[in-house]
Amino acid sequence: MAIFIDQMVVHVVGSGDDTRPPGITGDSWCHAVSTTDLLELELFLTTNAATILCPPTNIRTPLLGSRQTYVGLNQVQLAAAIAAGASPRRQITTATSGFDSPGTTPYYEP
Amino acid sequence: MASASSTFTGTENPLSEGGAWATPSAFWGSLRKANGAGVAAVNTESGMRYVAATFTANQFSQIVLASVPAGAQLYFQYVNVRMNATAGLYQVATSSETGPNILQLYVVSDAGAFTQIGADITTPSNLAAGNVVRLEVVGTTLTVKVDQGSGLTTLRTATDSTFSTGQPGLGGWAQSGSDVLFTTSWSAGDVGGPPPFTGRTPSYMFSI
Repeated sequence: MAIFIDQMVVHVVGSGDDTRPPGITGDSWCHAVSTTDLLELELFLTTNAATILCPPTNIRTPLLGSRQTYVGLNQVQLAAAIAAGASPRRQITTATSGFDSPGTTPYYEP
Repeated sequence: MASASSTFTGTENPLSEGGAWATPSAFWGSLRKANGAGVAAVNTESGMRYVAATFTANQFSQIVLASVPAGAQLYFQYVNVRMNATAGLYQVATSSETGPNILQLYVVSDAGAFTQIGADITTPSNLAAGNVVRLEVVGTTLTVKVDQGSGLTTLRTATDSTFSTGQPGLGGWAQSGSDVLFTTSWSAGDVGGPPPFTGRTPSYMFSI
């Protein structure tokens, strides 16, 4: 019944930090998580797309069974997502469920 | 034997104390002080390492809690050891989201990935202002200790070999509306080391 969103991570090109998630076209992103299911997450992203101004190409479509996805946001967009109702949380919190995995073993991609 | 401490007296943002504190280059945000320590920015993983002394690999870091979340507040205190210049570290964190008597032990990678070491750690009673939370690392052994008024008690021993060097430090995270000064004081030091020389000259060193 809630959308959690964590802090923006910035990929620094050439730093050896090659953790930019697949599907993200920019250098900044964060994680969006539904505490309920995929439908709630997709509804939040589509309902607030005009407010957050995040291009659809920068929202990684969560796979079936996942409650989490990556969203490429800059700092202004992140603030807009929080204003739209997303609850800021630690990255630890958003990692409690595995990406694309409904199983019990968390796998977190920073 | 290196040691350091701070009661975060005065006001600084970011925390510096003459350059003694440094924010790792990746991922972590800075802290601030105002007769206590808190985060410099809300909703940001924050942590700084002490760089005014060089600590051995075997070290401890400990904080005194200034407060614990009340009502809708959401914030967490971090105690860090072997914190490197990029982002990596070992950390014990308060975890009010999980419970008022829960600590969690993590290894955090240079890329900012948190991996919990072992299950949640339950403190003897709910954490409260004045409690001491301490993390020691000796070799590959991590030890979490808490003092809730009756002396330091070991709550968890675990092993991990990800990081072999680094500096002690502290940190935290605070949600919007929960930006409080959550740590009263911090201290750190080397753990162990060779026994001191007693001054007696070994017999094989007598000259003939």
